[in-house]
Amino acid sequence: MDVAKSTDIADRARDVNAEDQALIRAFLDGDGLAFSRLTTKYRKQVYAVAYRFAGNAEEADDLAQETFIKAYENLRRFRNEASFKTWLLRIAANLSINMTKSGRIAKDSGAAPDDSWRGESQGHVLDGLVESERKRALRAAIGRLPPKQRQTLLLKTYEHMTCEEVAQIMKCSPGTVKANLFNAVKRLKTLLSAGA
Amino acid sequence: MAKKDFYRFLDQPERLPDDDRDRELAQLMKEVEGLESPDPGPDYWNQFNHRLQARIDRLPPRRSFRRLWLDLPLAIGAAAALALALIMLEPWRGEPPGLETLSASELALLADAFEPLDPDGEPPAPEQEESDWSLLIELYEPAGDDLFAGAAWRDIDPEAFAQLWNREG
Repeated sequence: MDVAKSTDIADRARDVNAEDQALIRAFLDGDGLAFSRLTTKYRKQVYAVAYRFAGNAEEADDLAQETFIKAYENLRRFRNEASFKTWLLRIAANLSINMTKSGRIAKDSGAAPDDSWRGESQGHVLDGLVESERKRALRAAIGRLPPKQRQTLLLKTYEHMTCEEVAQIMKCSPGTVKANLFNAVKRLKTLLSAGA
Repeated sequence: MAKKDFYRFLDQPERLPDDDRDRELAQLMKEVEGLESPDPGPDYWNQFNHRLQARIDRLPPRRSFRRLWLDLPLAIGAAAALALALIMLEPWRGEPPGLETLSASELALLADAFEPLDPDGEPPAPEQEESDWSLLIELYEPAGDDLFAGAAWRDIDPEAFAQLWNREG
């Protein structure tokens, strides 16, 4: 059963890659619409990762747009060593680090009021408040992690990515990903205990 | 805290670590997983590609690799032609022959040619220029008369001068 499932996933990934490669070839041959199709296909995933990195909608939008512009400018250099999605997320991760360094993305993104919740009774409202407060604290603590640890943690916890996928995006070994994750979570725990 | 347990959890997220502290770390990771990225809505997505295209259109034009590849032979040809032209126009550069290579008669000729006109080395007197100027004036003067001489020139009547000019030409 598991073998059949993983074969199915591999087949689907191959189809996706073939489709992406066809679009990339079309774009390089001068078909401007091909890039628009690639954008439409991946914009939600890029935005979601950008939001995880930035912590608020405005900076996530900036990061997502910038990611596609960089992809547009450098698509000729795409060598199919990884999937197009991995390549896009690598651009987003690198840009996020650069934008944080240059101040375009706030380091402590936890203060952004991004959590929406609805409660019907007062109990639910209180639960929601506590949960919202916890998430805010969690985001603030994540914002205080060293950039590589933060990126690794946010990627690994996005759509159940495997360590191998994260390693491809971060251009490092799966062992480094695991070490970064271990250190990140340990630090996160310390920061949350200290009331970061 | 056992790293190995945590690493195993990373590969098999459905199996929480046995150790309490490791399990706490694993739970924390699951909490991070729960941080959602809210969808900005259809209006945002409707505008996303248009805004992106507008930003792409504002990018400075980039020379494509293919275009560069096509231009390369032209550039090489132009550079070669320029180099050839420079080589052909370049005056012959070499050390002039030394005096020791000249014969006695050639040395004597050179000595004559470069002998100073004034042995004291003073610059030529300006008389030559003045004499040339006086010669030029003389060409326009009626023989013997000096129209430009002092008081006679200042006292001249313009009408008389005009008549004189018309008469004499």
